[in-house]
Amino acid sequence: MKNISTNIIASIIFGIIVYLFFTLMYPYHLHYQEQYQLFLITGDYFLSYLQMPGGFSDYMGGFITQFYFYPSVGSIFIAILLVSLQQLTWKISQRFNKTPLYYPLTFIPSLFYWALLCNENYLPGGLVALVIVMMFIYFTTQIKDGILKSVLSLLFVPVLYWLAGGAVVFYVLFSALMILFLSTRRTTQNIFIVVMQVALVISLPYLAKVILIQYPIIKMWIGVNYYSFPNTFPFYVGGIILLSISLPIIMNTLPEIKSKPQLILAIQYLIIISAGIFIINKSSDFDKEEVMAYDFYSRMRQWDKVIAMADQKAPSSPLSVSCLNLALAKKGLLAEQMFNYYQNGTGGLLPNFKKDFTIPMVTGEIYYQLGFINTAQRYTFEAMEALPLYQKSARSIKRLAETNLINGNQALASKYLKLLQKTQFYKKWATAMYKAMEEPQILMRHSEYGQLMTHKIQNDFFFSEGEKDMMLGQLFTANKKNRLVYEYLMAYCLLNKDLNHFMQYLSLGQSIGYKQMPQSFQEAFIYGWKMTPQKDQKPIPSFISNKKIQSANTFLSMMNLPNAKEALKKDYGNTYWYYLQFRN
Amino acid sequence: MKFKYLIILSLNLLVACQQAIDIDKKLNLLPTINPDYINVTIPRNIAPLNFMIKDDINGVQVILQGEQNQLIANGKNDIRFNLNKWKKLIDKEKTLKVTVSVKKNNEWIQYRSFHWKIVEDEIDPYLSYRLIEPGYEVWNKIQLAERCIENFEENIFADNNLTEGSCMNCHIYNQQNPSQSMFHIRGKHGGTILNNKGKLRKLKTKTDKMISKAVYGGFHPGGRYAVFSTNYIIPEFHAEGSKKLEVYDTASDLAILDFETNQSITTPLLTDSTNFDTFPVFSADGKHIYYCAAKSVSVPDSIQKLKYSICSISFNDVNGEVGSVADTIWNARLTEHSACHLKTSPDGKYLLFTEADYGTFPIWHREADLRLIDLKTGKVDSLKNVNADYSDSYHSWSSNSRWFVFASKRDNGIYGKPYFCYIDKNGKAHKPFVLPQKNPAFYDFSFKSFNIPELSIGPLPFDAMDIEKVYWKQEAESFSDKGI
Repeated sequence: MKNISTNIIASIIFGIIVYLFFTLMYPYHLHYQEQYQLFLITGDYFLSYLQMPGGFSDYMGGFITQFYFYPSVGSIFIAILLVSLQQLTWKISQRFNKTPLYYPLTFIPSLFYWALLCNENYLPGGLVALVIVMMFIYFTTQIKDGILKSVLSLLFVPVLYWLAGGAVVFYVLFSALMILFLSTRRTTQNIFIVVMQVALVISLPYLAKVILIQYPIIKMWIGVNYYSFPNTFPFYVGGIILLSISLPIIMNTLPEIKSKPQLILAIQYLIIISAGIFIINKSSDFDKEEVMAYDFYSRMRQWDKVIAMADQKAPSSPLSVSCLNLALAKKGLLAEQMFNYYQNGTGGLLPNFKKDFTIPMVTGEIYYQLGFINTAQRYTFEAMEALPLYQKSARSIKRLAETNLINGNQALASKYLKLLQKTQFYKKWATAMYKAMEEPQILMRHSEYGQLMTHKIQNDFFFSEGEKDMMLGQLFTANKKNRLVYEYLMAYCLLNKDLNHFMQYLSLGQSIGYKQMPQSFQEAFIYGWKMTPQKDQKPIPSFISNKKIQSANTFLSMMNLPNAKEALKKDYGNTYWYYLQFRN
Repeated sequence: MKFKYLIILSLNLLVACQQAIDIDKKLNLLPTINPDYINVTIPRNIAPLNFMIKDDINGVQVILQGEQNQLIANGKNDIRFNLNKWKKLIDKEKTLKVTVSVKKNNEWIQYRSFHWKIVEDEIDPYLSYRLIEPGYEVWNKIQLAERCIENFEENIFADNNLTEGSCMNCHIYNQQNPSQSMFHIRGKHGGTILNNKGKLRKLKTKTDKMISKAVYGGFHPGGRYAVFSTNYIIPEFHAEGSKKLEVYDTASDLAILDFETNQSITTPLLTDSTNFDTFPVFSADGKHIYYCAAKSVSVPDSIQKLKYSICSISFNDVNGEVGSVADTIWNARLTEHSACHLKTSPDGKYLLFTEADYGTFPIWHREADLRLIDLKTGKVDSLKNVNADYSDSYHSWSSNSRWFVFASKRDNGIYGKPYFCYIDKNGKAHKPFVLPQKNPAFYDFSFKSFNIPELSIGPLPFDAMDIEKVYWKQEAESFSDKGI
């Protein structure tokens, strides 16, 4: 009794650790997954999933994913599923061996699945499918041998195929393993049932293909979307399911040790905990978590948080740096502070378009804030189109609603808003926007939409990915008070080490009305001025401080020394000069 | 005995369900229904025109009143007619008076009635289209589907899930007959798929003299030839909000493919590099090729000056020879507009095309509208009754030349839907109506655009698995240039 209580406490603690991990250490992975689905609360949406083998598991996975909108809620579902898997493994093993001595071993499948879930491409629907298979196995083991058990064992195969797709194979495999390893189960009737189950399992995907003709046969075999990329065969998931069903049988073969059971339990827990820490640590990708955090805060317009993150640890990946630069620009600090942080070229300002679902989503955010509404719309649409499982993205749909509202296409905006009204967590926003759409002055008063509507491009041109400075120039020409666009234009020249255009465009900034010329502009100007042949040099303008000129002189005198890169890093690492000379 | 009472009770309930309700208020206004089926002309063989009420209501009742029969249908906020009852009613009536009543704030309000005119001229019962999301450069799931428009059955006959995600497009029939049709699948193992009575051929249409693979085209009525454009196609993206995409050619020629000899026929006139020639089709009798032609301009800078005329050139189907003189049927210089997507009616009377301000890709041109040329008189009908605010294009005739289908983006500017339009014996076009769906809210929740809708007289003799086999296992047949 004491052991059982300890075991239950262990399971509860396991659940709490899982919960805390995803809530506190890994929340942006959950946000990341959530944004790439559009879970509609409609009957048609539910039925569309039920048409596919394993569609129920995918639907439940999607149902859970929608709660990732709030990681503290979404994590509860992950914890419940992983604890359920552990408990089912335990309950099934109890059918063969009642001793609680090896209880810690039942955590192994859950630990492995937890490790898989640390990869943003593994979807919760797969875990749902596994839990469903284990539930059916548990239910089957609870029925006493006889006709009912035989009939249900056969009946469960198509039902399970429908609920959990190809994972039904493991249900049948469990029946086979039982016959193989338990002599009491080796009866003619049981062997016949397993043969029939195997026949059913083999024929079901082909039968499904007859109805669902447009899907590849591999889809009929696998069913559930375990992984974001359908062409990747879920070997790891298969391994974990295999482990889950064989563990109860393996546990039955382990010796029953009566002396010092507490010590054996403690040793097992120690090993499991150590291995668990090792596995989860190896599986977690906190670099990705950081990029996802930058993207999340940019998407939520929490610019201060983006800058605070960078102050704690400077970002280095182009996507994180582009989010930081956007945050700096939104706070009016880009020209002043951009070189206080690591800069990785124009790719960290406006990343190039790529046919995938992450980069265009992040870059689209920047174009949106700049006022390239059509480009933002295109990027978000393309990102959604690139989703490999053909699902829709709530984030994209929301952005499409916004861009169409700003562009004045209310009919299209209302199509997207209607869809969002059928979701749990975007409903409120969509309804508010729907009302706002009826009264344009509400939209015009909106701090963001109103400004973007005012700055809307009036004179059409073709957007050219290869001429971003020209595009920024076009946008700025349309509204010469748009500081955000101006600073992006200048930053683009600086990061591109294009001082000619920088010098050309500098005078355009007069309309911005800087009280003091930003640091990076002063630095770039001095450098450009110093590099101009003396005969062409005009007097250095008053907006350049004497201190800056002295500092430039020191830098220029030292920059060609043998170990200048290291020597100058401390005092000049956050200057444009240093970027210009030493950053590739 | 109990069973008998049960039947009587059920019948009573059925009758009760179908009874007209007591009206509290009558309004002299038409109801706002979605889709807009108010005062439309429909063929006798169309599926039920299910619709929903746009207002916030608690119930709706619709009475379809014919000369002999009546059908009453009830719903919460939409109306879905029983298919069998609909068929029975529509078979016998010439006009249906549609009366919509809604329950709002606990009172029943009846709107002014409207009419559905049922014509004897049937529409071809099958419609094929491409289902694709209206994106830019990236495509995701593409399906070619066939819908029986007499009911709600849809069949996917090609799916890029089965063909490495390759793009697939432009499924067309010969004279609306499903025994000959074709479409292109791009990708490593792709080609032009030619269906001849269910036998599928995969064709590698590019020859040395052609600037690209076959793109837009049409069958010769005899079935031996098809005429195609070959194009270098460039997409550009507009920055201004009301425009989306501009697609243009930097070069385009015409070629005729002979499916018997696997030869491509080109002529200097139709491959002149100073001209852009595109969207060719054969005339109904197969003796002419109609196509769009424009003097080449510098693109994209002068894209707004790129305006296509409609030309015709003779064709001899005995020896496969193309004439040496082209006639201008519709002159872009005089109209200051641009023509594209030509489709001749099977009876040879009309030429239906799309007119835009400029360019060659009207589906993203808001101003793009359909135009109908009477080939006998040359008179152009602007089809005011048919066109709407957003792009109307990609049309196809019914085999009896009394109906045509077209893709219209009228509802939101992006998502195309198939609309059917009736042309009566006097050549008058009637108000078009959208392809009915079982769930009238279908289009609200659909992410797909219906591309290139084409009518046909029967179902296709192949399916998606046949296409999968052809894609992966069948060698593509090559074409060579025919010396001229």
